[in-house]
Amino acid sequence: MNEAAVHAIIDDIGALLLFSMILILAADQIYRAIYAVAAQSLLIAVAAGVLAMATGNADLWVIAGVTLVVKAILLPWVLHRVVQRMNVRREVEPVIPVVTTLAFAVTIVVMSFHLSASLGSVRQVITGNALPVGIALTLLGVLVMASRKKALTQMVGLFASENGIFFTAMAVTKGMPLIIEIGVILDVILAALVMAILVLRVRSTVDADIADLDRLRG
Amino acid sequence: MVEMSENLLWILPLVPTVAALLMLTVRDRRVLSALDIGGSTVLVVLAFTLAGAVAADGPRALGVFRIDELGLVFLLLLAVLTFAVSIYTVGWARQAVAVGNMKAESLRFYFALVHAFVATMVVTVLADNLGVLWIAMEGTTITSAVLVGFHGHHHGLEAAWKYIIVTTIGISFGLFGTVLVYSAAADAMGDAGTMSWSAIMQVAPALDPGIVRIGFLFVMVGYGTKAGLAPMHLWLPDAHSQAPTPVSALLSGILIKCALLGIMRFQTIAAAACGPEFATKVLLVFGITSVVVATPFILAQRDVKRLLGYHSVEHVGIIALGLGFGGSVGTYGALLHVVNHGVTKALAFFAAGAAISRFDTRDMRAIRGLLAVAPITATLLMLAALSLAGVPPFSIFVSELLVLRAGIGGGHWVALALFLTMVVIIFAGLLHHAGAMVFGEPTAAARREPEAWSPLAAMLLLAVIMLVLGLTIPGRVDALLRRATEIVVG
Repeated sequence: MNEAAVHAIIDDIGALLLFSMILILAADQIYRAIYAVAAQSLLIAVAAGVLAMATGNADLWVIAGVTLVVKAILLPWVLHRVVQRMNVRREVEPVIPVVTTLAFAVTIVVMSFHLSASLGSVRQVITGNALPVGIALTLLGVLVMASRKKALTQMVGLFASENGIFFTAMAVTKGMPLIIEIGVILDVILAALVMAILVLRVRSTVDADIADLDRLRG
Repeated sequence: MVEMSENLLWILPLVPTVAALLMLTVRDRRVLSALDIGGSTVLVVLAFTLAGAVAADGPRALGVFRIDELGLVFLLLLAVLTFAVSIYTVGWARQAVAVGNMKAESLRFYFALVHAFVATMVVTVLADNLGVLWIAMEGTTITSAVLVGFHGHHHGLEAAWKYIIVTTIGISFGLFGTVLVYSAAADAMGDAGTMSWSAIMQVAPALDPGIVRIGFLFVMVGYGTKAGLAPMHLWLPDAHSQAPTPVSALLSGILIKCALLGIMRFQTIAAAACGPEFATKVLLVFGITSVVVATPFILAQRDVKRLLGYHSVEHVGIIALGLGFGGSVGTYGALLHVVNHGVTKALAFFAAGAAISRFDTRDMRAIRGLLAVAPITATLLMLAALSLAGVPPFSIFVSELLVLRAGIGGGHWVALALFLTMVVIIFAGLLHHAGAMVFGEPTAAARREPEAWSPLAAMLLLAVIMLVLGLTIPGRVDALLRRATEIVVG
């Protein structure tokens, strides 16, 4: 594969990633958000595979595999199980209307492109539009966490945000050292497990969504 | 000799890890406490051994770990506080089980988690690789979030959730910033990019300033969240007030300082790549924001542990201010303040915890006349409050004065005026709160049994350190801080 083809593919994947992010932001049911984040992780795994083929870097294959297993299958499955355990097919409850959130999202995407365009010469060393897409994904993940009331949606936002960082790391530097990537994924798994336990514990003790608790103030 | 001290770099994180694993196999409270103190003693001894070796032959490196004088300041503080916490926990755990705050059968998980938490902090301090630094930092969140919610009532769980979500979002920014700095480094070094701080520092002047600037901003927000800098401090008062008291002492005393160490590592890179002004300006803004934001909450606070939490936001702000005023004086003052605040705040949490268990409430309006029921604890609480308020001759006065001097030297008049105003207001507020708790007639509900030895021993240990550092800075400590300052200032 030549350089230009790789750039084109990574750019296309970047566009699809942004699209999956819009799906997460616009999702009105928690299941849809979970499927969208799983699809997004799958795209990250594909991007890692493409870069692995292009650069011949074997570490990237491992990263692609781990991303596929952990982030596209395992974590969405855990989220799915938690939703089932809670036995409520709850709608996503936005703090602000979805339309407003989408308007914010558009602003963030435009600003991310603007920010990395302002870097000028630095962009030369970075693959195509990967940097603005990465920044946008990371910030949009945070937007999901900030604009949704339900704990599980906040977790989806966290995974999406982490996907943005992974994408940037891959496209910008052909991946962080393998051991670091594995460590980061391990941290994400552990954090997800602890969060899932907290959600279920609150559900079983006070029958409320943990993100709805707001007695600690001042 | 040289090889042995390098081995210490992997032995140090292993000590609390092994202690944690051993604890899981034990159920008896006494054995758990013995393991706890044993593990912390080994940690303290090894940390001071390493300090001696570094003082003699300079920094040591082994794989992804490296220790220099800057890291050593934090490692020693961590080891001493862990030791004090272990002693305090003996009496605390006995009491917590007796009154039913803690289930005897879940005690081993508590002890093991504390040591796992300490292990992740040790790795944070020793990490040379910025990726490992990040992984360990997220590790501290995961282990301590479980501890914050350990009591299992919904306030604790709410605080734990807020803590893990806010700091995990924050720290994602930290990872993003790390990736950006790494990409700049990989670009400067050619194909064999590395995430090692010491290697990046060697090429730092050649890094692209634009990308390092954005990277530093992301890191500042990321690790700043973990450090409790305003406006990302939202998790801090909740987590610090809901956590079991020994954990509060660790969170406030050392964890938020570890995040500051991460910021300092990136500050040095940013200073070399795009000049010192940029990083110090950012630190200055966050520092002054934290001091200003914390003040009204300190004045209006009713919960004693929340008060101490907000107070940590103020002091982290002061440390950031010291780094922001910059220069040798400001940085030295900031590092000294890291130590002083760590020791004093742990002492304050210990004393507050003892007061809370006597009065069965954290509401300061209901805590009255501590002096009559627990004279030594009350005296120590008052000493800690005086020190936290910045009264001479206590240690915090010295470091605040250094920070002030750096500000005057740099001519930052607006920041100084704000800083001084807030410090005076907080001084009055804090002493008012502490005075009301210590003096007066104790309520009928207060427990009047004699004070337990272990919390007292832990508090006295910290009080002695606090007093000594206020009166004089021992030569070795001074030399260590000077070398650490040189590492930051360059």
